[in-house]
Amino acid sequence: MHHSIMSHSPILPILIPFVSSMLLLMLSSRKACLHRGISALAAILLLAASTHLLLLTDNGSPLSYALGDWTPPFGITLVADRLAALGLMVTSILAAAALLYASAGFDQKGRHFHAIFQLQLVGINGAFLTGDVFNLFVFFEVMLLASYILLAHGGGLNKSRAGFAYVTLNLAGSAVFLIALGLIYGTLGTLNLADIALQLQSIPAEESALVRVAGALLITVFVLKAAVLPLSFWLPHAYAAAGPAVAALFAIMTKVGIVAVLRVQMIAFDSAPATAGLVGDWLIIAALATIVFAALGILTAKSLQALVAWLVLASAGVLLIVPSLGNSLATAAGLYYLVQSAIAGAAFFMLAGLIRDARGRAGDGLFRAEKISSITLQVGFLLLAATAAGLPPFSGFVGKLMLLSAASQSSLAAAIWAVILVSGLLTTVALAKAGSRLFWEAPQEDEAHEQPAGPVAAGSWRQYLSTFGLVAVSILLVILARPVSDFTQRTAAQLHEPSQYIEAVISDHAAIPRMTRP
Amino acid sequence: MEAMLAIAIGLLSSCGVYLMLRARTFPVILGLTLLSYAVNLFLFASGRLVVNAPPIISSETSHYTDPIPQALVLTAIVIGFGMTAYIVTLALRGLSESGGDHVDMPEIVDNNATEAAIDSRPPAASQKEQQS
Repeated sequence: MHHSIMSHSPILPILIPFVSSMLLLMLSSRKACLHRGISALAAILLLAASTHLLLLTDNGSPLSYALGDWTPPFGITLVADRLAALGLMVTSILAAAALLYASAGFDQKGRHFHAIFQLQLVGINGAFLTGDVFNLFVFFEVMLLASYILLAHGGGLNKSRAGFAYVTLNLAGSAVFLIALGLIYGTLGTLNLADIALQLQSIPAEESALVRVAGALLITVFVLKAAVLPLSFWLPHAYAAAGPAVAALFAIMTKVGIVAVLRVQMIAFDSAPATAGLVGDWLIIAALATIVFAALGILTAKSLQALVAWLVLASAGVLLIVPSLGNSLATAAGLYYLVQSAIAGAAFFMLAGLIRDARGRAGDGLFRAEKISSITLQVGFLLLAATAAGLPPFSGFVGKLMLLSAASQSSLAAAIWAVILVSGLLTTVALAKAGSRLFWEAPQEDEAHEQPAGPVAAGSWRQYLSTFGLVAVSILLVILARPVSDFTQRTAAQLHEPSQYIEAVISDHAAIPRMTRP
Repeated sequence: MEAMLAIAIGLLSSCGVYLMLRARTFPVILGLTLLSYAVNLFLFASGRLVVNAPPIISSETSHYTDPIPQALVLTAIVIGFGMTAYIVTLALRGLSESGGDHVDMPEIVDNNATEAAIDSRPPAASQKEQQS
């Protein structure tokens, strides 16, 4: 093993936010500008580290990093494959934008915003990188604990109420996660994902009951994080109650669940006789139901932020079709859709925050109040609404088109097409209604006199820059659709060939000493 | 011994689930705690139940208990402890802000937004209200 500094690059996306978080906690009594400076520096370093990892993984096989140099499967392994690098890249872009947005003043509405924000990044990045399912549990908990605090940041009764339900549900989810891990360790004797994949091969189909239960529980926990129906009722409340910058980062959190499903399914479950087809049949039904449910929610949303929260749920539903299709083309399309929906969703949350500030007392409620005359906000809304609804030529359209054409071979193709297209139509209608309420319909003349304009805060340049920066990234995803989708295809190809991942972690399977157990 | 442990896990988790489905925050938190006890016991059992055996290599014995589940349980206990502390403070904050400890109180819309919503209703609706 060569010990150059470069061989440590897989752990940098965890270390950078972790160190800066500790630093921020130590310096918590200092001025806000110092906190913002450290946070911004960490965001830039994280962007650099993610880009480096993306280029590194694109050119070769997955990088395995043994923590403390314990040979896998003993000790904890981090694995940077293309999927992890893609997730890290999206996370670091969203994190940079969300931090810039929050630095306009939201970060001062409570204590320790930046420290907790960086801890949340530790959790998300760790969940993408880890190659050990118990370590995945730990990173999930880090991510969730930070998200509980960020959700409550800024105060307010709605936030603590949405927070309580969110925390309770996730704690119950953690209990199920631990039961699944106990079953996996009890039956397979390992928690390393690559080793699980190898051990699963030797489980005969007739003794597979416990392993299948463990796998099903594991997938259930992941789809709880991804908010698939019937485990999705928490998402609209929680995401609609969070501050815009926080909600923007949360846009990646449902994606973490989806990436975990993809990884566990492709690396371990699908190729083993005991667990093959564990996901396929039921997840696609739940995913389609989620899309329908989200489309109805979009129609009934009472505020713009709630509407965007429902849009995030709809995109999670679309993405959860992918594991059931089980072909490389669909996975590639799904990954492109994942990237574009995370970016567009985050930008939309930020835009909702800007619109709320611009409308003063009326907030982002979808009813008639003062019109917004700002052309910038109108253009931003138009672009993001068209992206979210999947209208050409925006990135939402490209993503959906790729997914629909990949799904055309499936036996449920008709259902998938119908649900996605009809929900797209309903989304378009709802967004058109929302847009005309916000920008065109003025209140009646006589009412306008009675109603004082209320405090209208002009958004700071930081908020505009971060929001429209993300809009620009979303447009770039169309212009660069070819290279991006080429990369997602290479990512999917790597995922569908689990031997690459397994060999990167465990070179000699037969040499591992094992304890025989009763 | 296996049967006793299984009964204990089952009892703890059924009590935990029952309490979690209650409508007040305190029983819900108690339920979560009981559930996490059940889960910790379950994790212990995943390494098989062994009595009077060391978890570390020693020259005097050839009979060991699996050390990994013990490490896992320790991690789970620490995380569960932190989570419980946080949810207790969250419940207390909800109690002090709303004056009740019901987990499912009706959603309160932002005060400003409600006012504005009333202001901007169509004139017909507000006239009717005045007449009645």
